[in-house]
Amino acid sequence: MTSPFKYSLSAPQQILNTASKHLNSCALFVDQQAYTYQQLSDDIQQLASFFIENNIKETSIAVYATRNYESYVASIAIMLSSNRYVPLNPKFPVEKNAKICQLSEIKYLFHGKHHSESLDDLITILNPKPIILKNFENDTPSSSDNTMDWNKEAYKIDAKKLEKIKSLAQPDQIAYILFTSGSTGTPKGVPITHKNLASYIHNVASFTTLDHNDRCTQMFDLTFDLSIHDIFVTLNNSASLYVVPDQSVTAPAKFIKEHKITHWFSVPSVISFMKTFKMLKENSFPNLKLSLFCGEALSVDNVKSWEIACPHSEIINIYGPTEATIGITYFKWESSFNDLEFEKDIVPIGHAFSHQEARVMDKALNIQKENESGELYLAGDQLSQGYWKSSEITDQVFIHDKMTQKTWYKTGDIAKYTEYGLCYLGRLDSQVKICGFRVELGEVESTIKKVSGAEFVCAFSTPLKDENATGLEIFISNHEFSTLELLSLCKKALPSYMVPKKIHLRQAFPFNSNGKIDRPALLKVLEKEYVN
Amino acid sequence: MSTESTFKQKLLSLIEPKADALGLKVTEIDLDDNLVELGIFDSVSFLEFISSLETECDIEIDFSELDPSEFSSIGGLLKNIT
Repeated sequence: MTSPFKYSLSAPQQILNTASKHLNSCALFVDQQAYTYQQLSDDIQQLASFFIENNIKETSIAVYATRNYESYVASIAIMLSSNRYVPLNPKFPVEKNAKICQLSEIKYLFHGKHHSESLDDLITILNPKPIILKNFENDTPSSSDNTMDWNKEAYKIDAKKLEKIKSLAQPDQIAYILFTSGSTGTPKGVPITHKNLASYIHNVASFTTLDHNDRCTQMFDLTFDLSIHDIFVTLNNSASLYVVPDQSVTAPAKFIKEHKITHWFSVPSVISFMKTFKMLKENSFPNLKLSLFCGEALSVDNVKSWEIACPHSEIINIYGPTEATIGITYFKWESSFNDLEFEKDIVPIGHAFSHQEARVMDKALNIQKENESGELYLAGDQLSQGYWKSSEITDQVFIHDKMTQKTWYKTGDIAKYTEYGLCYLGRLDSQVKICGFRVELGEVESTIKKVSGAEFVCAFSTPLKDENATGLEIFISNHEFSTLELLSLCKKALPSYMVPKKIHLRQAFPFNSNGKIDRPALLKVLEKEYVN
Repeated sequence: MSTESTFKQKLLSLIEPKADALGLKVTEIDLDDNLVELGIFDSVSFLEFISSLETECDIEIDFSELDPSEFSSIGGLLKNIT
């Protein structure tokens, strides 16, 4: 057990400290260019100094976040100067980015070297318009005439300024706000403080050791909080962050080999993609030492394929909602588990990080017995204080327990405690009743995946949004079986009320920007069908 | 007809409906144009496309030494697969 976490430095401050000891080591490799810790640190200081000179503090600053060098500099410098980093995603519809800007009260917008038309569109619809922060080399979006240069001689750093920069960020100040899609359609802002983030980094150190010889992947879009892990865990520990180009993110085999990557972090879907491309051969990635997976259920089948391709890598399954800062429970896979049966063939999510808590409870906050399923609640100093400026939604899911004087975050995930620790069973809102039977859609999906060998399955109860559903429909990626064959496979494996009434064979599946199956998009397909 | 040109024809016939949907003619697509960047495929439908290409042509493609950028254009596919 590690010692209780005591806050000493914020994560961005720690990057400057690390940099000062590893000036010539590679900090970032992005767009085929390597940047040393010296360069990175100089640029971060320059931008932070710009914020200080212009008295920009405790302000929400958006980064139009394509994964280029400037975006990384900006994310770190914004947090370092006690401002709030709010990444936008060029892949989002312009309305969603605009909503995020509006909700987080964006005053400044930073963009990297290449600006796109979509940024012009965004600035056009924003009101009030943010001030655009640009590098003198940049061209400026045509729709904005309000800009500031940050890369000027006046903002050059000196020792005195550096001391000031390092003392700015305070533990209880918000470091970043990330937006998760709310069930109502309005995104919810999750503010994470410097203390939350520093605690997370302290906790993952118990199973992630890194030094200046290590090379870590960066595959997540910057609007996904797992990218915060990539940036800060890597750069706090003097390792190099290798940004996998967009083109290669779904199947980065060559990139991993070519750059001798040692630390991997992705959503489990990437394993499925790489399997499809036959990229997971015996000892394909001999240099990998640690592989982390997070963001969706990790199947035993996928882990086994991964083990074959990376025989020297530890494999760790991480679980955590954005509200609890990136990840809060973990499970270390052992190859001896191969013959064990896990619930639904899903790798457990294990135990909470030290000094964090994860409990399966009922609505009255009574702890469930072992092997009894219930909702997963989380507590600890990684927990956000609640949603950005929406106390009503906060009160619904951040529950204060008078007995223990603790705040519990109600995850909406179903889990149970087993001999391997916690097992994830699915989303509470994917639990439906079909002809009176309680059905977990995730269970139907994993069973059908198993019997058909399909990589992607997505199930819905019908009639849609009806409390008293009478059947199921599934979307399935499949090349082997006909609809009839699939039906007969399902009949053998599932009770009759879980056998799909309709099977939609699909060539392509929609995925969201985080690399997960885009359920709302599939739901829309069904809704359209029903209207017609 | 050589294997390469048969392969090319099959390849183009698989791309054609997707290109049509975008209002593009297959013949207008340059050999070096990246099919994902053009919007003909997204990263996932591109995978599905590769699978159907394998089935149609009864071949098995080894991508383990290739980066997606090397086989995301018609030229790249022809070079690496035939």
